[in-house]
Amino acid sequence: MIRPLLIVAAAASSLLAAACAREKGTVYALPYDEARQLLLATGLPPMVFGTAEPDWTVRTGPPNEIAWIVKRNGGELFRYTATLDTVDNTHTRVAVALTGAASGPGGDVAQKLADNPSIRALYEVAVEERVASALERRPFDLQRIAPAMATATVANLDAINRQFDEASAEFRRRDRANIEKAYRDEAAGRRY
Amino acid sequence: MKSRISAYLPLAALCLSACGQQPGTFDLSPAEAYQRLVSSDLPDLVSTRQCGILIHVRSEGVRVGEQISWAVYSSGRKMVDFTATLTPVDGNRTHVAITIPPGPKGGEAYDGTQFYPRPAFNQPLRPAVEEQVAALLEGRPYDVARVPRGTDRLCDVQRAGLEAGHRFRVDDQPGMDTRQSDAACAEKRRQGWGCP
Repeated sequence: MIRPLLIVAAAASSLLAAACAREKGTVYALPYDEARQLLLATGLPPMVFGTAEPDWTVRTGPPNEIAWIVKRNGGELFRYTATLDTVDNTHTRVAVALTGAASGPGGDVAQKLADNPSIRALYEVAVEERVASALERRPFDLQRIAPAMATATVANLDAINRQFDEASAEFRRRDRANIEKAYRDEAAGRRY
Repeated sequence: MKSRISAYLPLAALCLSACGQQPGTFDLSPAEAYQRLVSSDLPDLVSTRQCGILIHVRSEGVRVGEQISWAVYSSGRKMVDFTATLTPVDGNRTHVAITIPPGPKGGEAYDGTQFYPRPAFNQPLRPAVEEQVAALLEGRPYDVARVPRGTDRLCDVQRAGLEAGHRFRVDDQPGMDTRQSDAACAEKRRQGWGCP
């Protein structure tokens, strides 16, 4: 009775070990140096951060890592880190990780990303497509991030609506203020 | 036959209760309605419907207790006027009819078919005036949802300019704001040309 159980447990643990040992990332048909050069010339994924691209820099720390650091007011919000490993002379494995800053201009972004898995998934899918499109020398394919974007949009609809409402109220306040100023200027005899 | 008539009676009663009073009739005495209207310079109508030029509304009691006229001016020039005529329904109810003078292309001014190079209001104007009058007489806020969206694109463009901080005058040169118009005029005068 005990023997079959041991066999099952052994099989399960070996499966687990195999899964853990599986290297993360995607293998691209490029030599290490070429992959590295292509990634150094690559920026952030489009669309996912809004219409205005955020401030960012690219850094190399350990020789096989490239980090894109996204900032606000000079402080780090989060970073994407690509780790490159040689598979053979013509193949390179690239794994990308997203890390939120624990403190800074965005507060505890690491916690915010943990609290908002749909946004985290969108950022991860988007950077994976950014890396893949660069290394496969093709345009960024928005279709590949569309499902993650839709999920993130639905999950954050209340926040998005709130932002629209706030922005819209702010525009209305500004518009009203400009009209009132025009009437004040006219009353004071100022032409413009 | 009798049963057929009696079958229609509840329907008729339902219609009467649903229809309520006629549009333009308000639960106010003519004196109170007159007072509310003559003391208003129609601020909601102006703020929601004005275009790029600055406008000023002056109310005037044409016939005390019966008729109020509002004249709309811009840079001292009269742009449009409209009139409310009050008719007593009974001691506590008043009917108000709005009259707007003819427009340059026929119909009435600002009826949605007119063209003005420097419009004072978005078109159509009538529903906005009627909503402003109703809001004043019913003692409630002006409700933009009750007024059709303006259809005058030129008005929209000039209004957007005003909201962005540009100034427009009724006598600015076509396609220019006041600053551009003044600069163009100064240049014409410098070259010895006249400027209207």
